[in-house]
Amino acid sequence: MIRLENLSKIYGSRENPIVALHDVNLTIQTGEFIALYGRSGSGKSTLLNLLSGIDRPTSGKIFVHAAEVTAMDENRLTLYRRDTIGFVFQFFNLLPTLTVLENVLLPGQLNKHSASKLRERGLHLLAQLGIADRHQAWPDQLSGGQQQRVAIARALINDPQLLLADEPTGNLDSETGLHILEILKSLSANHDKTILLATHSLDAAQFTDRVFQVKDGALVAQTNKAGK
Amino acid sequence: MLRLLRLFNLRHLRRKRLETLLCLLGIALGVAVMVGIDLANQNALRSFRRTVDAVTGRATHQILGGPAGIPDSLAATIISGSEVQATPLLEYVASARFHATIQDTATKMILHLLAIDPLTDADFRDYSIAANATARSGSTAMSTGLRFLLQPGAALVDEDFAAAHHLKIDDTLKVLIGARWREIYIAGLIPKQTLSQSGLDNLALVDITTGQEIFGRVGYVDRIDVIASETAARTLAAQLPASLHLEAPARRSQRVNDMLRSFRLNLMALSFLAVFVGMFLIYNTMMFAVMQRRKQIGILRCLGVTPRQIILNTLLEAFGLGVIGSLLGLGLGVVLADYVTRTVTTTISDLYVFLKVSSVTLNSGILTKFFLIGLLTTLLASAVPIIEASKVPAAVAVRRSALEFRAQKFAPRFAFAGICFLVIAIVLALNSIQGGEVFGGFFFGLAAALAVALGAIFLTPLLTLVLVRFTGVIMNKLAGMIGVLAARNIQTALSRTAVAIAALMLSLSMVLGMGLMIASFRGSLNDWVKSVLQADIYLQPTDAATAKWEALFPPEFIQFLEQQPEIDAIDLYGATAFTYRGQPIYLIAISAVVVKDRLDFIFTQGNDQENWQHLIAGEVFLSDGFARRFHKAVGDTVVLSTLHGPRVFRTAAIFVDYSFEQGQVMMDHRTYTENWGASRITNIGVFLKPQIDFRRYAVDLRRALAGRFAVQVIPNRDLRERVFKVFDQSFAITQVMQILAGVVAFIGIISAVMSLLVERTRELGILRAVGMGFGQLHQMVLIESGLMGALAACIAVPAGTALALVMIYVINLHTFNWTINFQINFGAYVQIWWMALAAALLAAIYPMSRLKKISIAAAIREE
Repeated sequence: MIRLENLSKIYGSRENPIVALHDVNLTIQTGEFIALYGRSGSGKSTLLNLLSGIDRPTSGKIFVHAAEVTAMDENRLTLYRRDTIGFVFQFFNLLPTLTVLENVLLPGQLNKHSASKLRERGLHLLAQLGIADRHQAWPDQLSGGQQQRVAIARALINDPQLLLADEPTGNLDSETGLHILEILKSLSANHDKTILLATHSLDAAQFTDRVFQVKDGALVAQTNKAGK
Repeated sequence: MLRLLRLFNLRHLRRKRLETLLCLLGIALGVAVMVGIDLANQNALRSFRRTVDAVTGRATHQILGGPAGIPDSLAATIISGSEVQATPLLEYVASARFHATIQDTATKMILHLLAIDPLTDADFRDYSIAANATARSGSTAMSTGLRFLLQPGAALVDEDFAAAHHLKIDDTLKVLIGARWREIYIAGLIPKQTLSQSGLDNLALVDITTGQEIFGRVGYVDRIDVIASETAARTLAAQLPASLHLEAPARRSQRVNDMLRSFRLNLMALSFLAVFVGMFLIYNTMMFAVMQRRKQIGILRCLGVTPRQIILNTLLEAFGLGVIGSLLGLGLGVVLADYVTRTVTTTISDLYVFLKVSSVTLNSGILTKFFLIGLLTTLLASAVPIIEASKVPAAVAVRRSALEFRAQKFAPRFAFAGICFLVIAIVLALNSIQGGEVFGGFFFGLAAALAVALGAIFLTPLLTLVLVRFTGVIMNKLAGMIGVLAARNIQTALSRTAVAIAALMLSLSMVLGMGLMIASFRGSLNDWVKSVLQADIYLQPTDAATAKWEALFPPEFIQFLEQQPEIDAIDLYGATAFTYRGQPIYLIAISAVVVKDRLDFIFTQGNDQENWQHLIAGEVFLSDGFARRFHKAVGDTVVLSTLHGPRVFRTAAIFVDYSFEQGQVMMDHRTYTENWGASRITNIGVFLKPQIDFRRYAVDLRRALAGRFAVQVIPNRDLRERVFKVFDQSFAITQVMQILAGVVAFIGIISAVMSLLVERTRELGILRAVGMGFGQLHQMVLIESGLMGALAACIAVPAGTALALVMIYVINLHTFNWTINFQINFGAYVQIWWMALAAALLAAIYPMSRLKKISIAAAIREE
């Protein structure tokens, strides 16, 4: 279970504050597929960044499976990101110096998992995502959709409980984007992954179990699958 | 334009203070090295030339004799018989001690003794007029003047010198002439105004009779100074006997110049190398400074700034940096020059001719020259990357991958150019070896070394790609994905990494090349020392102030030695500065009968016993340096000017020698005496009877000589140590180059690693986002930096070895006349590896500390 308590993030100076998130409270159950829907600059990405520990809140607390993320030091945060979180970015963020398979294996290797088992798992994930045949290719030799699938495989390599996807279809054509959303949905439904999807597309948000609208740094509305 | 400069360029410099500082430091160091070595090169001989000019005074010509000088009677005939003004002269630079504190080494002074004829010298030198005038004015002064003229041992001493050492009139000074302390007393002072005008200092004037007495030259003068028109001089020259010759005073400076030519060529080569390193350093730092802004340039292009505006703006910025950096470099260079001048002066004094350590005199010509070189190099260095960046289409300029792709594509073409340079190096080296001319050979050698360096530089990108691919596999095994990432980062950022690796490689190659050359030289010298230094004890006059090989043993000392029952045999060794075909050489007289069975000369050919028999019979040996310099072989003849006119000597053998780079003609004492008068004994080798303990005898001999002769008693092992001490001293200046190479390496790597980290901020953010800890990031940066160091060292191994071969078989052989056998020295190879790794790992510390400042959220947002 994930719990956000009175979470706020303010950038800028005291004289000229820019409120990115204001007093956000949210509880997410394990295995849920949640959408954070809102315009660009509304605070969705900030919320994902705080949740993943790559940014720190100005105030408030974050609990992920009883662990308080906001109380972790830098080392514990690194391990938390490595073991508990999988991150999928809008611009894929694959490392151009590594091959497809090496990109996928990287978080696992940072964890010093057994090399052979890791490789097996990496290839299995790539096969599940339909790009096993490109495992030796370089990122710039792949299409956008393929790169995003590699990014998803990388996010899953350490078998994290929580998958954060920041506009994963924002840089893809609609057909490819649809395919990526189906993959995420399947991960949630079949593999019990908790997924938070940040998107500005209502169509994308419709794929999830619950949709939270984010506006000016606050969660202003919630709809469920039935649109209620 | 200026607005763009202020907004874009200056603001960038202000925000990137460390990078700006590194860039300025790079330019400053480059300029400093060039200025330091060139100023030292110019300054080294300045004091010597000033002294020669001041002593020469108004003389237009000088009459010189052979090694023994000009007999008094002959001098008197010439002076009285000729229609020109002429005056005799003796000259000696001696250590002096105040009588009361003779044992106190702290009061050691150097005195330039000039023995003149007061009656005729006034027309030649202003200070001798002043000395006489001072002496003759007033009643006390009058008596001083008379004492100066009439009393033996009287001297007029430089007023400043006397004041500096608290000496007063009537004080007695001891001066060390050869192996004997002689006394002079201060009869009067030479006014300092006169001397400061002449440029001379530490001067003492004595009457010529006193000079002959204390210099041990009774019956001879060194030379006759002459004031004559060209026509009168020609007439005079025609009338001189065969043993004498007339020459312009400038020839004396020229002779020293000739003698030091190879040494100065070496300094010039170092200066040239410094220019090369300096330019590379400036290029390296400026390139990083400009390349860092490639992205901003792309954005400016997108916003409508023209390529011309970008070029001019950045060149304007480079101009500013060049001016500041070059000015800083001039300041640093002057500081460096002080150290280098001291080193150079000490080396010249040890090896060639006594020079006083002089302070650095600033030369506006040199300063302007290197200021302009620094500025132009900065402009050129920034022009290359900025023109390239401005040519890239706007959209592409933002993406660095395009540049890296091009860099990798160009690597094979660069490699081809590198191979061409290596071929050129081989052709130049062969040409130099076959040409044999010293001057041309040196420059061909230097060009060959430059071609080797350029070849290695141009091969670096391709070798980096190949080696990184190979090391990537090893790194994967050793450090997993972190190692792979580090290796790939070097590969994919080739446009930066190759330049940094090339800069480091060049520095390391120079260090290795010099290290191998010095080690090989040391090894060859060691073999030679073992073969020729075999006497139990060596003796030489204590006098260290005078010109090399001018301090002589008096005959009574030889007689003293011959009476010692412990001594089995004595090798009397006499070195005399001489000229052959107008070039400085040395005539060496030895006791052939004594040494033929005791020393193992390394002859190039022939039977040892037969060679010695020929020498004893009146033929000569030539050193290998002489033979090479003047193209002589065994059986050839050399014509030497003797007391009896030119005489032909047959070459009995050629031997390996490391004592005189100018080359030497060696003969038996009998041959020398027949042709040049009494032998001048400069060193003595003592062979003891078998049962005598040389250590104990050395102590006894020192005790027996104390108070009678100022002679250094040096046991064999000590002399060998001294030989290597002098050897090490003469290569001390190369340490400066090694330190500079280390600095270049450090700056090159730190710039590269910093730039790579700045450019890869997003990638680093991704790595942090996917769970890479700081420890792992640090590990990656360390491996990356260490790998760059290791790659540079890998390439430096063959490049440095090739440079050493060029230095040994081309430059040293033809410029210094030293035959060096190349020897592999593992220490030199180990040294560059630790230098490379230390520089690379140290350079990683600062960039690693900056990693914590990276905001992951900001980094991964960037696109």
